[in-house]
Amino acid sequence: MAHVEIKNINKAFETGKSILSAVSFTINDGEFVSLLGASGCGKTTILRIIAGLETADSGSVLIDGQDVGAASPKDRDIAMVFQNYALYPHLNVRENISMGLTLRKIARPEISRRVQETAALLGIEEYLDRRPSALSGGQRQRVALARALVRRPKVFLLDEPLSNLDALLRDKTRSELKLLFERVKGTVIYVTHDQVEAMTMSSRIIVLNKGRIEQIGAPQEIYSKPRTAFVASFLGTPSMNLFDVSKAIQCGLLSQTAFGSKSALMAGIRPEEILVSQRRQDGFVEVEILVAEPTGALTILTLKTGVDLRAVVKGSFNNARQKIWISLPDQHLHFFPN
Amino acid sequence: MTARRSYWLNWVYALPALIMIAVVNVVPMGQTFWWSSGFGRLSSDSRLWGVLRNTTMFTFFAVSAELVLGLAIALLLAQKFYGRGFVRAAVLIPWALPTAVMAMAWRWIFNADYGVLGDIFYKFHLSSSPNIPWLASPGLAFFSCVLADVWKTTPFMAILLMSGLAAIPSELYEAALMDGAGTWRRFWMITFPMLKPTIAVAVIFRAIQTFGIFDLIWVLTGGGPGGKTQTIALYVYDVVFRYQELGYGCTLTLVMATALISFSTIFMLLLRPKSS
Amino acid sequence: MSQKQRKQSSKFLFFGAVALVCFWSLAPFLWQVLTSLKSSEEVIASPPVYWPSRLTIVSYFKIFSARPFSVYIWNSLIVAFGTTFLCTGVAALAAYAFSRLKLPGGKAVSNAILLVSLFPPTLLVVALKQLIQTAGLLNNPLSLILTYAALNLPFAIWVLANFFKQVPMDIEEAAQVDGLGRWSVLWKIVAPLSAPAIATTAILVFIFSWNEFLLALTFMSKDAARTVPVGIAMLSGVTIYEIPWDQISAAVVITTLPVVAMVLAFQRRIIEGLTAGAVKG
Repeated sequence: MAHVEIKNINKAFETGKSILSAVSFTINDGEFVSLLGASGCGKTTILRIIAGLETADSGSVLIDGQDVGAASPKDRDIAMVFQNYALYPHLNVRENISMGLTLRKIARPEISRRVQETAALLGIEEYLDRRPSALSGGQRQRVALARALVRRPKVFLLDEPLSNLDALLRDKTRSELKLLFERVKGTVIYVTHDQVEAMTMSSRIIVLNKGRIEQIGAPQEIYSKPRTAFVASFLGTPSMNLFDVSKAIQCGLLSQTAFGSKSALMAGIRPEEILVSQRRQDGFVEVEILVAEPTGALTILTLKTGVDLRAVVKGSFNNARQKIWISLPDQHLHFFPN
Repeated sequence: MTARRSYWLNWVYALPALIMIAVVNVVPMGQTFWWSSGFGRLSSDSRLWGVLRNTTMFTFFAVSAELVLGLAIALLLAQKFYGRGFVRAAVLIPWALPTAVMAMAWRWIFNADYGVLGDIFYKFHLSSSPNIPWLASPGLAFFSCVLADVWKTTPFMAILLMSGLAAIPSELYEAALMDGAGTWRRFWMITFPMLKPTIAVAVIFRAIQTFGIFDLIWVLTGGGPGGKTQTIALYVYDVVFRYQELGYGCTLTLVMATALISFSTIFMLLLRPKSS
Repeated sequence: MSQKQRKQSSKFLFFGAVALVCFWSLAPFLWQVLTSLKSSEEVIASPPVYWPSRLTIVSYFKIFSARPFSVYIWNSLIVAFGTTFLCTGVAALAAYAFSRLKLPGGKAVSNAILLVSLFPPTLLVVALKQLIQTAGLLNNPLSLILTYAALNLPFAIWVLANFFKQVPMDIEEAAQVDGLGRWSVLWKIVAPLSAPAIATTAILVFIFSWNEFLLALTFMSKDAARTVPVGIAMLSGVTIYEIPWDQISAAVVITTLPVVAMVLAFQRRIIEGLTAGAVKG
């Protein structure tokens, strides 16, 4: 297992439009790190640069301290799981899994032992003689994983491996994947646009936006201490309320005395941190409810105030008068440069 | 009931096309059966066996060469490079030009007295004389015709294969790259097996067309010298329009159709994907 | 060798191969162009003159004055345009039915059509000649127009039907709700939206009709009825040994130039059409 270091990587399209700018990070041995961002933010490009499928315009990739910039993908000792799995359609599952070992001239008995072992680990022993076309989406995904695992590479690169599964299977596979890589003690770089995947599986998350790193940190740290407005709004559902401090003061949500000095900033508060009361209370502001959306366990309230505000309350919410009182607790407020 | 009747009425749109296809394709097939006569002559027709052999050999050599050359061109043009659009157009030109007209052009190139090909061979010391009887020598004429046909039809093959290549997901190549496969390995591991269905379709299609070849050879050699380049289509033409033997011409047409059908069936059975 | 050098030499090899492919594809045509611009003495020089000492277009004048070449061109134009219009129109109707309407037994019929289209015209020529003769259409361009159109119908229907399928059904339904009948939906909605496919089909049918030889040779026995390919193939001198190569090369260039122009202009379309037509197998 290995240690991966990305140093100041830049890449641009031929048109000059930048894809990645000044991307640097380090991944420790045995770590599970997610690259999280919206589509087009450059996360897959980073993965492909590490794999050697693309080259950066400048900067370097170090695996175990060695610059692999000139090495071809096969010499980097990495394995990749593709979004669409990229299984060889004309080979059966066994041949698909063993291809990387065969091409590396590993002895036959060793190959069959490792294929068997990996197949058992993933529960796909029954399908070893089938063609990929005879497998379901979930089974194909396992074969793609097996093909990577069997190699015992220094680094695993996973490109949205769950995005082609249906919702139920995705939830189940998510926890399985986490366990699996804990068991093989793999160094994993995981690309996803799904904040839930990133939050639940990784030891650290790298949040990307428009080719730049916004924040690197443990999931809880990123959630509770977002460094930028982008990170704040990208994580959490419903997403964090963001508004101008000055406007909030105007409509009485924030007090002039406490926050007057911050009026040039942008403030944020997570919907679940807003205190909601059915009765008039000290320090609470009366607001009108525009929409109440029950989701079962929670109800999302869209409020009519001077700023766009959504709050979350537990259970169903019944309020015929369409009026509630809210308060924004100081300790849950985040401030970002506007 | 009314709904179903209106579905039948939808056929009205297809009717003109169906009538035209029936009159031009189906009716002649029926008539060919109806008029055919002289089946007994087939076994004693020594000319026929030579003609069938010529046609089969011609098809085999031409389609094989086309496939190899077409694949090479397709692989070349699948790359992205500056000016690819122009090169593709250039490659397409032999296919688009009228066969009979370009056969005249090749006759000029092959001309024994003033032809440029003989002169090039002479200049490169491949021949002791510039006057090579490309079309008049029984040994050479066959291969000259194959060469001209390969020139004319390779673009079509190349285009079919190019579309097959474009349909192979690039992720597969990347996966193979990660698995440690080199260029040559990737070709045999991915390109070739993934392209096999396209190759099968292209070869069958081309073989059927080549088996019926007429215009190119009619213009180049007229079937000569000494019948060495006569194909079945030329023979049928001679029998019907020169010797006015309609009945036997129809019989020969049926022979050609049978050969085509059996060839296609065998080829398709051979290439049928193994059921897993 | 350093990596950079290796990269450069492989690039050199690649463009060498590309150049070779271009040369192989264009040389026979370009040689005709060169020949057509030579004086008649230089045409029959031995060894061949590679670059004419004097460029002349005398051969081009000869082909029009000494031969009925303009008649051939006229015939070819009538046949090619007639076929293109007839075939594309009829095919569009049928393709609409096959792709958008409920047709009882439609699948079986369209499969049968594709099978029929696989067989080369060589198989049909004998019986077709008799048919045309019976209909009294020998030496009449209509005979070629009808047969060419019919022979191209399966391919044209296939390409158009595939394209029509891609026009979203809701557009058509919206038009129906707006009060357009089936007929107007086809001509006012589906056809304009499918203009690229119709153009592709038309180009390919035109090229086929401009180039066809065997049927033109058998149906058109009179010199005044001949199309260009047959006319050129029949060009000969007073004796069989006096083939007028200078005139032939000029005729070849005139005949092929429009096709070359079409290929250069519509390369992408043609490739799309050919590919769409071939995956039917």
